[in-house]
Amino acid sequence: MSGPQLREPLIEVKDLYVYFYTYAGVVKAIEDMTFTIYKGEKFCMVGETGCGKSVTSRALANIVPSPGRIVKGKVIYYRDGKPINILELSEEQLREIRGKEIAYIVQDPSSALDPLYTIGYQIVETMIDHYTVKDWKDGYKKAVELLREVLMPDPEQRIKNYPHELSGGQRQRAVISMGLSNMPRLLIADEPTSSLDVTVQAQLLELLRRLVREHGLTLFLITHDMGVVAEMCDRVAVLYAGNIVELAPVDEIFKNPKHPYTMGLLRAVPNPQTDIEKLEPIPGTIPNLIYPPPGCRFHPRCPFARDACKREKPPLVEISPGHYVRCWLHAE
Amino acid sequence: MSAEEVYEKKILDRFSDALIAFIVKIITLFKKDWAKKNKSRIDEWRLMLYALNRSPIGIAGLVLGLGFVIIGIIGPWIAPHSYDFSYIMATGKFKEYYLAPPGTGGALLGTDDLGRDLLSLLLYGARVSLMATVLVLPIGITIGIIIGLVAGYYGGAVDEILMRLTDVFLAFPGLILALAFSSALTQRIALAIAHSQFLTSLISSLFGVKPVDALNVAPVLSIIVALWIVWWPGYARMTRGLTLQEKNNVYVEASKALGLSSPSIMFRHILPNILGPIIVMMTLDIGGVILTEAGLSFLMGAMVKIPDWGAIVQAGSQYLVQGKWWLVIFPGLAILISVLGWNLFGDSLRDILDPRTRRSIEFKIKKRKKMEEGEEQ
Amino acid sequence: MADIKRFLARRALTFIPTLIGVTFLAYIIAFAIPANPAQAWAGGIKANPEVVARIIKEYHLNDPWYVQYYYFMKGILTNSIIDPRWGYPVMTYMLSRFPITLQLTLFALFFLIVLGIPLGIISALKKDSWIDALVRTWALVGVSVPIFWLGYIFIYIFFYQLGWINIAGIPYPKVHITGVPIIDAMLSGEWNIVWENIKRFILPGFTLGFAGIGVIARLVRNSFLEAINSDYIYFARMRGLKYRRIMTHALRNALVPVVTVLGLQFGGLLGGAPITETVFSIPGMGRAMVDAIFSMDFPLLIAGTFLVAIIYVITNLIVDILYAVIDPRVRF
Repeated sequence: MSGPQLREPLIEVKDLYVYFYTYAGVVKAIEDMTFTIYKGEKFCMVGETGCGKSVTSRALANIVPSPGRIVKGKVIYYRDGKPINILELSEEQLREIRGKEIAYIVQDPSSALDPLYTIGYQIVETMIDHYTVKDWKDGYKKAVELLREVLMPDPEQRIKNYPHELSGGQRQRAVISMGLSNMPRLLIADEPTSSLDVTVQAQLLELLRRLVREHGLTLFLITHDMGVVAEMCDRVAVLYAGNIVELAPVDEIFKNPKHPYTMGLLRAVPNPQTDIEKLEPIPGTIPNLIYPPPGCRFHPRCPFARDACKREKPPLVEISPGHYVRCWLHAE
Repeated sequence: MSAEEVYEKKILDRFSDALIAFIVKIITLFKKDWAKKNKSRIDEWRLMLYALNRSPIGIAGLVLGLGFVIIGIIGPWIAPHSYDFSYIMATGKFKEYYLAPPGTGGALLGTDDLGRDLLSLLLYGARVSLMATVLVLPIGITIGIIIGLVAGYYGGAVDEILMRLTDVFLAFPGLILALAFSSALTQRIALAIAHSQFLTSLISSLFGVKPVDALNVAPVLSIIVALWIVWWPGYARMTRGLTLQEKNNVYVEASKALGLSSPSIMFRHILPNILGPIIVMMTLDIGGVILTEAGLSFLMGAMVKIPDWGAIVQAGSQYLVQGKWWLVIFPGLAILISVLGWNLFGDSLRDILDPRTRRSIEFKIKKRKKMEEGEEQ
Repeated sequence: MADIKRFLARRALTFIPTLIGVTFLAYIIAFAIPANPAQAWAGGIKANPEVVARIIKEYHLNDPWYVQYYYFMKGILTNSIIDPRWGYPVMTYMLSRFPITLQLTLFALFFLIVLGIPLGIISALKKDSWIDALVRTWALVGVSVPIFWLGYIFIYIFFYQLGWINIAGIPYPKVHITGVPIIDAMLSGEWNIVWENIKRFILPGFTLGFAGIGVIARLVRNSFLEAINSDYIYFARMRGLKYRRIMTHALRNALVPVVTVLGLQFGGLLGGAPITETVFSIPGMGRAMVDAIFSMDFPLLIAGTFLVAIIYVITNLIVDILYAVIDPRVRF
């Protein structure tokens, strides 16, 4: 992607803390999270299962599921340049934004759709409640167009189908069309292809890329797959145990990873751009977030861990323009 | 870290541990190394009982339920008078002992229209209710399990036919079917008792009545047999479902490959694994059996000539208008308490065994383990 | 609609064998179970030997079972089985008592729906409040209370002590359209008769439905909570749907299992009818069957059993169809 342009922030996350209050204890899912998503970019968040990427995406519209709670921080949304703190909005104001200005695509389309209603109905209701169409007749017409745009075969028939009558790929297309229906500013795609098979995955990712380009959307993509990151994103944040450990443009991350975890991730996955002799998994497992390890949360698994790492958590530091790392190796 | 060290124990826990140890000892008499192979299962039982110990409703229910069982057993022995004893006959004082209110001269709960002591009648009635429960459930469930196992295991046409059969029985509302069956059966059963000395003495000792009255037990026995017919379909359906799930497990195919016979696979391998949910269902059903039997004996009223709670209510109902409430209230209360006890216990049991609620219970029991890495930052 | 018709066709395949099986079971109870069926059909031990002989001949009781079954069914379907007490057709008599039992059952069903469902919804919305505790208690205690005991207590309070209700006779309207007194009275505008029927049936109806109300309320509560916490409702919130619409989604999903349980409860209501009718002196089918037992009127008992079973099978078929209408997943 081209060099620095006039970059307008769309979403600014500052000092975000999200805790889950479970019967087993308090899970510190997200701590001290700060990042910015710029208008028009394709921003990725990558990490293992349970690292907190989904939770972060939910926090952007203040819809973190219970027993989770945002305990601290700010989420600033720039609507036409005017900053709004999402976390201070009323429920009704939030409702207006969700599905319209900030739209979601979820991981499992099968459980996201109400089995008792046709997908046509569910697409139209999303538009009706946001006043994008004036009545149901118009709504169904627009729904057919939307489905055509997401390359759903035979859209006039599909709007009358129930979710269980469609394949996984078709359901996800329906979900994507719901996400686009109200012309959102920000499209949050949470592992949109993880539950589908590989061929469909490729199709849908290509579709997403095209739609983002054609509609000038900002995309926030969450994935655990470095391959998807390489294909889809302009910038990527690597998440570990609720903290961003590295944040950089995509090329930088792949060519010049600085955080030991990032390096480990890249070594664990086949990368056609470089010569790797063998794949190496990262030893150990993700930590218990009820009693997280002191200092840097990655230190128990880190081959470069030092005393400082066990005692104090390193801050996120910009080591080169646009490239941030949270590691004592790079922050003195 | 073993189970003992992690949990905070209460007094009741020691009882449940002892109980489990006892059961394990008995099983070990039959299968020498069972305890070693099933250590995790034993630990799970311990945990479930701990959970039960912490549920006041569950314990209360268990106490009431066991109370019903104990009183059912010792009822006839601790009753102040025999069930055919009449104050009127004994003392000749008609006015005083005809429908006497509770507390009248020795009759703690009052007397009925024949001057019989209500308390004694209720205690004998407890035995009858207990017998009904004890005789209905095991047999009804056994029939259901056999049919369910066969249907689930063989599948295909056998399954279809057996399930249609089950549907036919389920097409009748339970009480109605039982009513029809027990009316039809009474005579046959009476004849069987009349012709068999063995049956007469067996029945009289089981139900706490004198041998001459054994024939009068026939209506209750026909209710019991009718309830077998009503109860088996539910268990057949459930067992079939469980069998279908178990069938997919590898050990079934392995057993077949080893050449084990089908009955052997069904009863010695599949059955023990599916017994769990069945036992839970049975516990939940105990209350239902007591209630249904009481309803039927209420309907059959005067035809039930031995003391049975439902029939006592029916006989006493005609005097309710005169304000003689005890003949209706006390037997009904006895039924309510017995059924409620088992229902409360069963409900607690179901909560404990539900994997979702169980985890939260488990965490409340466990002592917080101090992690080496330290507690909250 | 086409797939509902297909569903019906398949359902009929199981419906018909079940129906035949029911008639066969009725036959077995009628002729095979009793020690001396001819005697039972003739009126019991004291029956006239001539009548007994006639019955043996008429129903071919010395012939093989399939012949007996044929004549049994012929007798039922041509309404030619005669009552040994009064000498008129038992099926006619039973059918004439049916509307009264239907009215009682409708009252009970009314309570199940009008009390059970709202209580369940409120208790779900106000989880852990006193209403929630009430519902859970009602579900447990309601199922433990003997119907006859409850009925007599109610009679004692509301009739003997307060005189608010009436436990004798049935208020009949002047017209006879459906045969069900309260419906006919409503159709002909005889509102005082309607009121009298309400006074007569409200307590028996409530008693009969008492256990069921608790069961339904608890089911609705759990079902509604499950629906509200489901993924599709969460996604509906993500789409910014309006509150009303989200609740409708949840409610419709929650009511799906309730329809089936209502059908099962109906069987329980039919089963509880004999007891309730006895306690409240209601001249319905149940009472007739109980009288039949006392009077050794076996044919009447069989006729009643037969009729109740047929009604229940038809009810279950209707419930299945309703279920297919509500839940599109079932239609295959």
